[in-house]
Amino acid sequence: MTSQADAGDGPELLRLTALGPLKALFQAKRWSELEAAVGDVPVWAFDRPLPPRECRRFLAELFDPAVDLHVLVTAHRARGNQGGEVRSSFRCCVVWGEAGSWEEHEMELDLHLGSKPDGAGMFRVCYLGVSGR
Amino acid sequence: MSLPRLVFVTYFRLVPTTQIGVFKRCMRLIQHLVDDFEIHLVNFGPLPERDAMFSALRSRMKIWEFSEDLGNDIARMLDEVQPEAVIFGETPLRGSMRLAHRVAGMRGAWQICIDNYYGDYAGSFFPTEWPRIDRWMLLGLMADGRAGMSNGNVEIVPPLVRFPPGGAEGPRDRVAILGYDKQTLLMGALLLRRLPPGQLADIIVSPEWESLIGKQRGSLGRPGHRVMVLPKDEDLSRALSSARVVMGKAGYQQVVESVALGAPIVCQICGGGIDMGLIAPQMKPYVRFVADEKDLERVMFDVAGWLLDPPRLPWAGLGAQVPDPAAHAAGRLRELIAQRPAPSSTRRAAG
Repeated sequence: MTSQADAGDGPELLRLTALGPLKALFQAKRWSELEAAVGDVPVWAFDRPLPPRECRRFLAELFDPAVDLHVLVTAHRARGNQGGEVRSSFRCCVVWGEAGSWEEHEMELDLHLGSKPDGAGMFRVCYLGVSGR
Repeated sequence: MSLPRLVFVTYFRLVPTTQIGVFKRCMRLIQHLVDDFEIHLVNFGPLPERDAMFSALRSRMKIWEFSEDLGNDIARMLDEVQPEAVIFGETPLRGSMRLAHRVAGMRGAWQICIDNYYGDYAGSFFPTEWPRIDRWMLLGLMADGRAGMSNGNVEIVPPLVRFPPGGAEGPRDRVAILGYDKQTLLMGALLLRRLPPGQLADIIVSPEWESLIGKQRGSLGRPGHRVMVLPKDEDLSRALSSARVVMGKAGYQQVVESVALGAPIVCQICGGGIDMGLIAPQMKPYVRFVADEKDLERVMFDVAGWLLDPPRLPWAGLGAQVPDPAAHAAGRLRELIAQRPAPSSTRRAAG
């Protein structure tokens, strides 16, 4: 199995990390499932810990009115592979439209993800962090 | 009887670096479609007025210009044109391209997107990420030297190079510098400075860099160097087919076209370009990236190897299989257009 530490900066990376499933749930605005997928791992948002309930409320508040929500991963930096845990930073651009108008919005941020192989060819999230750019 | 209509959506940029590849591939397809379709062109950015193929096609297309009220303008245009398909020259990631995709989706248009074949995963990656694009045509070189394949919604075709009729004239003994931008041209000069003075070279430039060649007499414009200013596609392909090594910009199209024509390439890293992560594994042995002169030093060993013992690339037989890839791709595109469901059953959302 190729680990994300071995992968380059390409779209291929998405299928090699835990980010892919989280991204799909986020784009579909399936907040409950996203919360379940993240589980009780530590989540940090802009240098503050974010309790799971808060995380869901935060996302819903910001993105419930959005249409065509999309996360573009524009760059990736593997940050080592320690004890089976792979750490990565993803430079992302979140793009979305406004319902009822042609307005479009973009937000650039960095996603920091720790994940471990689950033995079945998938990755399990160990921690998730979001920081601004 | 009026012709069926196609809307091509593309862009041309000069900043941070000249990006004309997406526009050019649309033109290469349009030249084979313009007799049978009424072509409507939506181009974001300036029009490349000096591009020879665009100049030849210009009078045969309706070119749309929009106001700042872009979403509504595109919606009105689609309502008026009622195209058979909206064809995006590249995946509509952001900005105006994305907005055009969103409007086309709201209008229920049949959407086809052209992008690069980055490797096997691309066939599932693109349709998953952009599910409202109905069909994909990916341009690239497959692992086994095959010309292409069709897989449901995704068609893979060779890059839209023009293979020289009858093959390259003369031996493969040159170096080609694709110096359309200053940074790559200057890196090309550094490369040539490291090669024997008698090395033959084709230096391909935009008109604005001709004067720069005069100032780089030590490395560009030596005897044995041929300067070509915005050459036609057939002259360009002849130059690449005669090259043992190409120095170009790290744009996907320059990379894949050089390799398709049998020449390994050294790429100048540039804003908005690609990196090794986007090179299909089968192409990696023939592609190197450089950011600066130190990087160039590191790749000179490979360059020397390519010059002394040119590798036989797996796609050497591609020209025999598909002599005119642009005509071939246009044919496949016609099939993707024809797969549009009958108008009564098209998805039409309110918008």
